[in-house]
Amino acid sequence: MAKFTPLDRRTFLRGAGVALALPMLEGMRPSLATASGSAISGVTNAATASPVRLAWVFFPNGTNYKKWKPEGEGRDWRPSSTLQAVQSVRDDLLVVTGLAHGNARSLGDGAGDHARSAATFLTGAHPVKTHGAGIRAGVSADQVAAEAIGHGTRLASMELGAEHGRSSGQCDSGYSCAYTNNISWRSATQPTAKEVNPRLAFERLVGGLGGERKDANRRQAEKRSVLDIISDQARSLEGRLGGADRRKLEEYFESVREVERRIEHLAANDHDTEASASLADLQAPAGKPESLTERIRSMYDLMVLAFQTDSTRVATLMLGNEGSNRRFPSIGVNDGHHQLSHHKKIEEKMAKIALIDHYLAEQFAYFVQRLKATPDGEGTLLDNCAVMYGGAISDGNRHNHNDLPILLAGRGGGAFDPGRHVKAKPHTPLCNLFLSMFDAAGVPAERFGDSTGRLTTLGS
Amino acid sequence: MLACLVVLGTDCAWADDSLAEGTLAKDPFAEQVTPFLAKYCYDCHQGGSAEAGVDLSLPTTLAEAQQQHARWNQIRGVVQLGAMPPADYDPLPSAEEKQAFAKLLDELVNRVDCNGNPGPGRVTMRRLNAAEYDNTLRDLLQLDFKPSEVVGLPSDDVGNGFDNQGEVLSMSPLLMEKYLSAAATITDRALLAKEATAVDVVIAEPSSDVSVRDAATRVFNNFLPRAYRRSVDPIEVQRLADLVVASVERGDSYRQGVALGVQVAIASPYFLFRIESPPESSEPSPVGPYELASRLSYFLGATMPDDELLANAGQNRLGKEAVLREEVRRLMAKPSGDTLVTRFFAQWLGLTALAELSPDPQQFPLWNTKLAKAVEEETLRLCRTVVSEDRSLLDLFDADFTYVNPRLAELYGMKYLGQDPAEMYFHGPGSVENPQSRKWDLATRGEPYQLEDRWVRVPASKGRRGVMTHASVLALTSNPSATSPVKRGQWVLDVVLGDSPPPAPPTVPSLEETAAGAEGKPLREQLAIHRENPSCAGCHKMMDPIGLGLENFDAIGRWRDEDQGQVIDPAGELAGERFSGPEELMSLIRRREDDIARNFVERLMTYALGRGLRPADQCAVDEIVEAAKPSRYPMSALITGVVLSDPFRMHSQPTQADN
Repeated sequence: MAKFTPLDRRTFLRGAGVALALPMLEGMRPSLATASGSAISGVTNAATASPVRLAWVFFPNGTNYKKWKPEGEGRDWRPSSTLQAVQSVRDDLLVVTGLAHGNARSLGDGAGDHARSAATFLTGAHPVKTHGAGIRAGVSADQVAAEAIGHGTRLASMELGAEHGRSSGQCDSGYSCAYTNNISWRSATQPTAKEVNPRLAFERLVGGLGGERKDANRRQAEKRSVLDIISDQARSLEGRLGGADRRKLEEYFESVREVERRIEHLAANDHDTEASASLADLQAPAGKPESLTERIRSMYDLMVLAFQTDSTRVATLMLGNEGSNRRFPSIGVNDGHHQLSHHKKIEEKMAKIALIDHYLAEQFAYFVQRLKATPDGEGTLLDNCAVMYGGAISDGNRHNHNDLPILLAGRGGGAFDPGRHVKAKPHTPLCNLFLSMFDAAGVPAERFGDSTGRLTTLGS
Repeated sequence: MLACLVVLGTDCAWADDSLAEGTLAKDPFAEQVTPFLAKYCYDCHQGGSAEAGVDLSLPTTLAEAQQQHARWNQIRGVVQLGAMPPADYDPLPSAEEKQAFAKLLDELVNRVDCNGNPGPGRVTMRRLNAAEYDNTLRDLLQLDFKPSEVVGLPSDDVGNGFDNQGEVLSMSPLLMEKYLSAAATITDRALLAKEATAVDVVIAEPSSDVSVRDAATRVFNNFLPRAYRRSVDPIEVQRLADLVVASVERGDSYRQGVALGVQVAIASPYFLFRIESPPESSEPSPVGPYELASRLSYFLGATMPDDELLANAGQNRLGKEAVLREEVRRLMAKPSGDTLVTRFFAQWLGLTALAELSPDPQQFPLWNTKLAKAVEEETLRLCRTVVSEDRSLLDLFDADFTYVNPRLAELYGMKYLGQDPAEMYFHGPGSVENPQSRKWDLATRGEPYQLEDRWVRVPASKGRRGVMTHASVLALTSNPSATSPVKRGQWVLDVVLGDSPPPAPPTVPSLEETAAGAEGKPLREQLAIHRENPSCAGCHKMMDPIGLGLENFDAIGRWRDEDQGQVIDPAGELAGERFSGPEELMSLIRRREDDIARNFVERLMTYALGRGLRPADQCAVDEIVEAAKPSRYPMSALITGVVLSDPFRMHSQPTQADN
């Protein structure tokens, strides 16, 4: 599907994933090329002196797992019909089976497997069942990583989505929509909103790098004086408020500080300018892409761009909200995804689910190819990435949270030995894989969620 | 418990009289509920290996059960509906025993002493959601654009069915960045552009007699109370005046300096959040006058208080009931009063999901974004009529009239003012089944767009009464390629009657497991097989027969007599009462007027307060419903009732029972 036609640089994000590799812009790696004043933690790939980047991609509603599960083990794995979609990058990824999210199970809370799937996916936590009051899951893996390795880059992390959050009614059996709409949680009580408009996501990325260059200094000074006053206001308010109000204010305060940090980072890295000038020439993707494929690929393109320019080292992408009932007309699926996922073992419906699984995996293959085609230091971006792709429901009909469909792309700076099917012991926590990703990127963590250790079979 | 007594001494004993006896036996819950649990539930639901993780064997006091009311209500529902204990359990409680247990649990767990002091509760401070943010800036700075769209604010998360719930509205760096960039864009356009809209902000300019500081002080003395929706401290104004002075010293113009001050104001926590000072005790006390003004204005207009309301707050007049009633009337008559329709009614009925709905285009080629807009508009128009004509709430569910534009008339198979709608859009007869085949009438090319706005009030067509028979709700409660009697039944129970069945317990088998081998049979039969299973029966006996009564409407709400060659039998049952078709169903629903009113007031109050209701709020809900009953629930009585209620006007520190 994906072709890499060399085009004029200006056409960068135009159209359905038609994109080209940017010329390598060394100036865009401020934090590595120069002493930027802030200490850089995280692991850099010794051979290429590049940092390791982490990303997680989520898809909703589970799979037709029989069509997903590969045969064989190790390098000789034979792709299932769904994983034929990633055959072109089979040497670049690990298929990991046997992993589970025990905390996405009901555990006495009754229905709501979709809400729990999204809420547990990156947190490994069992979410509190509530319509509104006292929402709580856990800090998500990407935010733990962002906390550890995000402060050297302009954006500590980037949260993207390919579907608008649902904005009314009950999302799933007594769970607030905050659970089905988000996978990234800054704190146990604070989901991190995702950007679903490719154009705005692009502008945030490029604009911050230099879109407003001409009067950037004045703007930055203004922003700083605004931030000074509003953070003082928040501080003086803090003492007067209690309980839940104080928690909300803390969210505000933290957000202000994060923006301050970004501005300082920008100021400390003047040589951004040159790189930014060339970036400013890039054409923005459409705000409302015409097709789903274009929307998804635009988001993948943005992740490549963000990693390539070292604007962030941590990213997440929600391909759909959990329980999404979207149709996939481009592959002839005109029933809703969620409706189909309750396939009742009817062949026709199961076949359509497999088609959707295949389609989404194919888009992921596009992402892997783009990472691979992008130079990074001495190697490629893919060498220095660890990208997990998957969901927290295995079979959409059974709503089971073991045997999760999981792919791990990239070498993680050398930590992983891709090209294999790795069978984990049944019910091994998915959080163990997160710990292995943390290790690859130098994120210190002893345990996470319900982890019981590391996945030791991913490396060579 | 005993350890607690030892450590904390008498303090702990005072907290719960039953403990003073040193035993749980006197506790009404332990005395009356526990024996049933022990007899019928403990076998499976006990200890660490309890089924589904539900351990019912932990000693529980009444106070604890009341605190976990959601959990115990679910257990009550599961037993009441017969899903538990499972049919193969021995011994099984008799039907009477189960009903007695459910009644007892209801009385114990949900009991609130309304004569005592139920307490008005406490609202978590609310961030303005995207709509409130836009509306507030529109009124504050006369903006003619929506900032949330320009900077692309991420969609607000929803809790308790609405997007204005304090606990759920969170803040993030992404959002903060957007607020800051919105602030810059807004001041550029509203204050610095040639056609600046905010004409009443810069009310003072520096001159030979007036220093920059004095001018700026005047500006923010006037502007800040409106931006912060309260009186302000001179120090707050001072700080912004300092900012203007510093900005001018840096070489900016005075106006640029003021614009920067406005940026601060509209990125401030005082602007972005609705902050209320914490109540001083657990005794109910009125919220502050400015706080009440904001509560009122955001409830009835989704925007900031206007000058008159702020003045009333400043003069402390909102404590008077007559003033408050008059303000409700005045605010509802303003254009912003329509947000009650476009925001509250739309979210309550689930209409906001219509934009994302995508029925199978092969089966339903007629469906497109214009039709989606039209079906939403029909329902909003009926809601608007009920509100503005101060009709009975019940009219929503059995109105014998509705609104159509030509597109909707076509969907409903009606004439539009005597004309064939298809001919209005298209040249020649065309085909409703295959609209693509139709040719545009080139002579009236511009017409179709105007046609979308031509709404007329018409008598409801065959089988249709009220919103449940509107194409909007019928489509919302369908899957993309087929109707769903289960979803429709659930919608009636949940949205209309407030009688939502408890979520299926994990042990309930799915439709396909119970109806294995029934594929290909009519849906009615598949559902019937599903209901034969006792664990499914409880809930589905309630839901399915309601939805089956609406099978004459297809997945986008068109009338049909047959489905896949079989004549549709629209007979069904609502809570034991039989009906022969949709119109009878609607009149049965209307007869449940107390349930409808109670549910409506609960939803309205949830929207008004920005928090989920607690058991204690039932007292206020009951009061409003009782008061409106003799006049048949006119909308004004329900809306005003919410405003005058204790939870809306008062606050108190949360007590244990509130959690």
